[in-house]
Amino acid sequence: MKEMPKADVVIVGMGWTGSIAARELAAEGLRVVGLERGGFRDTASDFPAPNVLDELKYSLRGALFQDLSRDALTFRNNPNEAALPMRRLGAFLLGDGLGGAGVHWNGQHFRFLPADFQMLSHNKQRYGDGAITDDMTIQDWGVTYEDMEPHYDRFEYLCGTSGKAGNLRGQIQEGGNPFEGARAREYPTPPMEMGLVQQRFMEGARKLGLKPYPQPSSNLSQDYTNPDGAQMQACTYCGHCERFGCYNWSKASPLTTVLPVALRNPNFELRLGSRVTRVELTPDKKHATGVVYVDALGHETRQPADMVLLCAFQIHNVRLMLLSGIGTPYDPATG
Amino acid sequence: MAAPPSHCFNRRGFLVSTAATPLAGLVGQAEAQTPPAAPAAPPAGPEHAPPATEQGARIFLNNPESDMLTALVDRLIPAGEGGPGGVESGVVTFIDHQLSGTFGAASNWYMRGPFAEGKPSQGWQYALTPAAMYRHSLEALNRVVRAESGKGVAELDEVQRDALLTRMEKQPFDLNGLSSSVFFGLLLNNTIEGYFPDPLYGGNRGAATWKQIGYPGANPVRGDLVTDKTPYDGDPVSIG
Repeated sequence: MKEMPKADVVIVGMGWTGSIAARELAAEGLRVVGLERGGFRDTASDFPAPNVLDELKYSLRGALFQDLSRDALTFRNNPNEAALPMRRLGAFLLGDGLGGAGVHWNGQHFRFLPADFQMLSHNKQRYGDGAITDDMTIQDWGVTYEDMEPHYDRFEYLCGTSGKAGNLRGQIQEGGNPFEGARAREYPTPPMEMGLVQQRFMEGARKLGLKPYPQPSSNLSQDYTNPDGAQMQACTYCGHCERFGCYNWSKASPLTTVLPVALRNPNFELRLGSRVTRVELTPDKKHATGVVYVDALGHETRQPADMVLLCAFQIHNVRLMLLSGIGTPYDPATG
Repeated sequence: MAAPPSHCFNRRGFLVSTAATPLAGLVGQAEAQTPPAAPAAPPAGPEHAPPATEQGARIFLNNPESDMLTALVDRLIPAGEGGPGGVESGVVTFIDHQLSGTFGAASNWYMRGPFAEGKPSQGWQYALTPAAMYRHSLEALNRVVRAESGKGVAELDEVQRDALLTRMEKQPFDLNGLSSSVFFGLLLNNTIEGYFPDPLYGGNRGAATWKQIGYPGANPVRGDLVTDKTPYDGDPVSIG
């Protein structure tokens, strides 16, 4: 096996979470290696107009999604079914390549509601202890909305998110979502334009006494420069967001925000075409010591590191942990 | 090169019904490589005759398959009902191109065995790639139809083809192990895809179906149109 010099941090997967971690940890002075199974992508080279406005290639044939001929998964809809391979993608669209699914997301940029962090205690308080039976596995997160608010705020300003606050420091704001948690400040950019359908819908909803509000969008309503100096442009409403890369630097993605910063930092090394097959552990299985991956040329390679971050999306993270003997597989019979 | 990509025709503004091309069997390779002249006659044929096909310009489909698909697509999206018919808009050409490429080969699908029946909610569980499913199904379908009526699929009149498609979908029968409704679903999907794609892909000739529905196409700048209260009436933008 090929041995690489030890790094401080190895990151598995360079989508949103991996790219953010790479940017932050490299800035702290740690030597970071990012392993991405897919290839390099950037806006100018890979998503020019009009070529990227190609419904067949991107929306129907899924050019940006995981290649199931190389990485497949099985699924079933209930425990009585035999799990079968997912032969082509359907209900969920796994990403692939630099920036991961953060390239083809559609930019709907919501925060959790305060109650979402306290599903157990919130529902007990609202519906009584008896409402939560023993077979319900819900828990509180252990962090609250208030703990998370500064981080939500920072990420929205990194993305340039367009929206209208509904709750500023406890004051309900006209035109925003009155049920949201308190925000420290307004969105970095105002809401996107409403088309005729949305305008009619909002009029109708208001007549019924409801409080419609513009969806927070990380497809930007205005030109914007984020705190890192990354420049983004006002959306041109071409309508090709989810399943597509954005041609116009209007959609916040790892490619338009954090990766340009990480890639300029000499502490960060990106290795493309690198498929991680397992996490290596200490003999007591309490600490990760690195990962084993197959590199772009097909060579099995060991990358030791003090810190191993699994950032390859929930499905791949769990699979890697199971393959590495980490944790106990979920059993639907016992919860 | 065996056959020219049909979008060459589109790039030259070539908008023509397949009804104007020579009949099956008369199209030679040399003709297929040269854009035919503008149509001399409007795209209308005898009431019950399937439209003529473009047999020389196929990559994956063989001639009988091309004829059968032409006959079926002609009934899924008939001509003369408020827009171009499926055949004249290039649906069969589109399907042929798709089947000859990565889609036909299911190149980004997981296609290794073993194969089990699966529930409908578990999606595609067939060992056949899309290209193989067309080949398998059209051959079996033609045998079923011939045994029943003494005619091939391509020889059926409109009423018979409508009845056949309805049965394939709603009273499924066996196509050498495959339900006819599965093949019908694939064919219908690809027909719809082939009616509305970017003309780059061989369907939607001259972007005529986009014009029909007021779709701007691959037009990247639509900011001015968001609050516009009038229907879009500009020319659609095509990649190809």
